[in-house]
Amino acid sequence: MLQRLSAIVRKELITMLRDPRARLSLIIPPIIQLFVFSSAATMEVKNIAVAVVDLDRGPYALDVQQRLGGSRSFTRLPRYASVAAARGALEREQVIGILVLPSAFSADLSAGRPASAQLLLDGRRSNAAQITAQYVSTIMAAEGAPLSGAPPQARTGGAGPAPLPNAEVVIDNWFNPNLEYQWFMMPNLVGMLSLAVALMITALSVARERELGTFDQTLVSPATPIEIALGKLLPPLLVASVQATLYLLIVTLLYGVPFRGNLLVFYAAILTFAAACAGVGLFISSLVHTQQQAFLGAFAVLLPFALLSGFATPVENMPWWLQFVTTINPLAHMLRLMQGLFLKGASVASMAQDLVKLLEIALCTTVAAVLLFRRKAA
Amino acid sequence: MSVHAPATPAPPAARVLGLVKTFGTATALAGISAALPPARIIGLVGPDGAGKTTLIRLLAGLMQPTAGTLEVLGSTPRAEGGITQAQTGYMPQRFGLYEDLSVLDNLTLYANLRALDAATRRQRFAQLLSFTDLGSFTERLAGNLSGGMKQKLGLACALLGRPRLLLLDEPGVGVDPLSRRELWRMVNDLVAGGVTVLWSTAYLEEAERCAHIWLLDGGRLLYEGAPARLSERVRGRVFRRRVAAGQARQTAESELAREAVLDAVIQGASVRVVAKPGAAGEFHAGVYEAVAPRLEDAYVELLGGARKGESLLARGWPTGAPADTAAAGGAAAVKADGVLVRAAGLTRRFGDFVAADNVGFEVHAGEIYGLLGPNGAGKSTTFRMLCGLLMPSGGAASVAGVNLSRAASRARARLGYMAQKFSLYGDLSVAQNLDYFADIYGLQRAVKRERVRSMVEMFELAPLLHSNASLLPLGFKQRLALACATLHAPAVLFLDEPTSGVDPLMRREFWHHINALTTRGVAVVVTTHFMEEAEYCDRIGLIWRGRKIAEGTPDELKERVRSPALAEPTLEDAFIALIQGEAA
Repeated sequence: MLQRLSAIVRKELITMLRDPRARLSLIIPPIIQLFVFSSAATMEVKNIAVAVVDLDRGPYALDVQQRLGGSRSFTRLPRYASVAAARGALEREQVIGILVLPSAFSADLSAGRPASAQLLLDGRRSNAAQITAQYVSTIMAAEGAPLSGAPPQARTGGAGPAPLPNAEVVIDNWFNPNLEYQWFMMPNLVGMLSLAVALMITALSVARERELGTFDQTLVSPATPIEIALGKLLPPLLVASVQATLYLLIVTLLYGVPFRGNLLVFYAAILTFAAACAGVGLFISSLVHTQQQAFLGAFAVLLPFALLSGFATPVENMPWWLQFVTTINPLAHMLRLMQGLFLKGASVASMAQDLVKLLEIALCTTVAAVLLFRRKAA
Repeated sequence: MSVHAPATPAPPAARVLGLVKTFGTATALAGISAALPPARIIGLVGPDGAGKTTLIRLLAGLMQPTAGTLEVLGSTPRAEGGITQAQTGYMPQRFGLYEDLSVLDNLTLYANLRALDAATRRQRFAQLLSFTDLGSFTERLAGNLSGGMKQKLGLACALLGRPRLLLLDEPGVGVDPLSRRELWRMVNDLVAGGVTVLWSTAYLEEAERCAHIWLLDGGRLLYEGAPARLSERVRGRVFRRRVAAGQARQTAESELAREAVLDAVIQGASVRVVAKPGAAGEFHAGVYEAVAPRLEDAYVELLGGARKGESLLARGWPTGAPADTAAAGGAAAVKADGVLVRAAGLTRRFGDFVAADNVGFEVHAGEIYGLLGPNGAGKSTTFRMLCGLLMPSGGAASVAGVNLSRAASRARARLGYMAQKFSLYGDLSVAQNLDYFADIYGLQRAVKRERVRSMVEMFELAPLLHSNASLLPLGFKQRLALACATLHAPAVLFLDEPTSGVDPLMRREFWHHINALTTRGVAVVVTTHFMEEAEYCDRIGLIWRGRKIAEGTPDELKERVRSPALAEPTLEDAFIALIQGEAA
C-alpha cells in the first residue's frame, strides 16, 4: 500500500517538476500575480483629484487645503468658483469628488462653533469614492468640521464632531492608507493563490491522464482507487506549502508586511486549506473527461469561492443566506486566518475556530471526492 | 484497381520534387520526389512517424515546405483560397468532425465554409447522404456515430466541394474490416468518376489494393509504383508450410532461425516463409508449398528482413512462485484446469443499451485468444471488463483464478495490460517509467532491481534511460510499453490493438516476444482490427451486437465460410461473411 502510494505521489511530482518549463509555470505566474494584484489593488487610492470650491477663503479653509495637498493620495486639487463650475469635471471623471467649504467656515471655527463642509462624490466609482471620503473626513475631523453630503457609509470613516485631543495620532494612522491596503491585500492573496494552485493541479491531472490513456494503465495495476485518489491529493499539498513559503518570504521581506502569528498555525492552515481545495479539484476531475471540461469546472467554483470569501466585498453586506454559504467556503476561513496571522498576530486560540472549521471542510471534500472517484473509476 | 488510366497520358494530379519539411531539429520529410497519377487510388504507405501526415498537409496547402517544390492540380497549393483549396478535399485523421454537432450541422458547416449556395447545397446534401447511407441519421450527433459512420460523414464533408483530388489521412485506422470494405467501395466509385484519391495507411493489406503506392519510411521514399511490381521481387521465394495444430509458433521460430530464411510468420495453422534471394532451392515441394507473394513479404525484405534470435524476455521470465504471494491460492486453482482467463455470462448495460450480452469464453495457459468485432460491437466493453476497467452488470470475470469483482486488486496484480497508443508517462524518463510500474505492482527491492536490469538489457534501453518516454522513437516506445506491462511477470497479458501503426518489423519483434511468452505458460488476450495480427491467435472470438457469434481457430473460421465462390477465404472474408450471415 505505502509502496504503491509513494510511487504514485513520486510520479505526480516528477510529472509536475521534471520539465523545466512546467517547473517554472508552477513558480513564476503565482509570483507575478502576487506582485500585480497587490499593486493593482492600491492604484485606486493613489492619484486622486478632488475639486475644491472655497467660498470661505479664510485661514481654516486654507489650512484644510494645505493638509489635503500634503497627503500623498491627492495629486491635484483644482479650484472652482462654484459647484456648478466644478460639476463638469466630476461628470467627466476628472475629479472623484467636490469639496465645498462654505463661506462661514473659518468664522465659525474661530468662534468655537461647529462648522461643516460638504463633500460631493462620484458614486459610479464607489470604492474609490468611499476611500476618498475617509481621507477627507479624517482631515476635516482634525479641523473639527464634520462633512455633509457624502454617501452615508462614507461617514463610517469616523469624522468626529469636535477636534479631539489626540487628533494628530488619528491622522497619522489614516495617512498611511496605501500601506494598510497592501497589507490587507497580501495575506488575502496568499490564500487566493493557494486555492488556485491546489484546485487546478488536482482538477487537471486526472483529466490529463485520461486524455493520454495513462489513467487506464494505472487503473489496471493492483493500486486501489483509494490509493490512486490519495496519490492525486497529496502532491498539491506539497506544492501549495512550497509556494506558501515563497509568498511568506516575499510578503514579509520584500513588502515588509509583518508576520505576527505562529508558523505552525500558518502551515497547518495552508495544508488543511490545500486539502480542502484539492478535494474539490478531485471531485471535479472525477466528473469530467477532458482537460477543457476540468478547466471550466475549476473556474466555475473559483469565482464563487473568491466572491463569497470577503476578499472583495464585506461578508457583513451580504444577505443572510449568502452569509451562511460563506461559512462553508474554505477561502473565507483561510482569509481570516491569514489576516490574523499576518496583521493582528491573533492568538492560536482565537484562530482555532477557523482552523477547526477548515479541517471539517477539508475532511468533507476529500472523503466525498475519494468516494466519488472510487465509484467512477471502478 | 479495376480503373484503367486513360488512353492518352494525363498530367499527374500532383507532383513533388525534392520536398523537405523539418520541424525544429526533427526532419519529417527528407527530400521526396514523386508524382500522383490521376484518377487512381494512390496508397501513401508507412508506419507512424514516416511522414505521411506531413506530406498530406503539404499537399492540402496547410503548411509550407522547408525546401523543394510541389504542384497540385497544376498550381502551387496555398493556405488561403486559390484553386487548390477549391478542388482538393481533405479528411484529417479522426475524420475532422465536430462531435457536438449533428450530421446535418456538420455538413452545413462545411458547406458554409465552402460558401455553397442554397440550390447546390440541397443537391449535394441529397447526393452525399444517399452515397454514404447516412440519410436516416441526419439529426444524430456526430459524436454518437459509430466509427464507420463517422468515417463516412468525414468523407461526405470532404466531398462537398466536388474535389478532383481527395486526400484521406489514415481513413482505415480504428475501423473494422466491414466498414473499411464499404469505404473502399465508395472510393472506387469516386475514382471511376475521375477523382484522384490519396489514401494514407499503415496497413499493407490496404496498400496492396491501391493502383499505385508511395512507400515512406523515416521521411524517405522507399518505393514508388504499383504494389504488384514490388511484390514481384520476392516471387518464387514465398512458401507455405502446413503444420500440426499447436506447432505453428515453434515452427515459425525454427524457420526464422535458419540462415536461408528472411522472414517467417504464423498464418493460422501454417507458417509463411520468405527465402533469401538464391535460397529458394532449399525449400522442398514436399513440405513447402509455393504461394503468391504479397506486398508485406517484399516490404520486409526492403527493410532488411525480420530480426532473428531467441526472445530474451521469455528467457528471463521468472519461474516458480508469483510475485504476489497472496495469489498463491489462485495459482493452485489454476493448475487444475489450466484456465487463466474465464469470462462467464459477462453482461454490461449502459442504460437501455446492452453493450455486452452474456459473453463467455476461457483462455488457457500458453494460449493466445483474439477478440474481434466491428466498432461498437461490444469487443472493447468485454475487454475492459476482463482487465478490471469496467464493472460488469452481470456475470463474472476472473484472471488466474481470482475473481475481478471480489478481489480486484489481487486479480489485477496477475495481469499485464498494453494499450494501443503505448500509454506511458511521457514526462517521465525511461528509468522513471520502469521504476513507477515496478513499484505500483509492488515488486520487492531485490526483485525490482533484477527485473528492471534485465528489461533494460534485453530491450536495449540503456542509452535511453534518461530520455523522456514521449521522445522515444516508436519502436522503443513499443519496447518500453511491453517492458512496463511485463515487469511483474503477469500470468495473463491483455493487448489492446498492440501494433496499430507500427512497421512490419516492429510488429514481428513484438509478436516474437509474445509468442515466446506463451511457451512460459502466459495466456494472452488481444483485440485487433488487423487481420495479420489475428492470424497469430490460437483461437478467435467474434463479437457482434454485444454477443459472441463465433469462436474457433483462424482456420476453423475460414473453413466455415468456404464456398465454391470463395475457395481460399482470408480471415477478413471470414469476418465479414460470419457477420453478414448473422445479420441476415
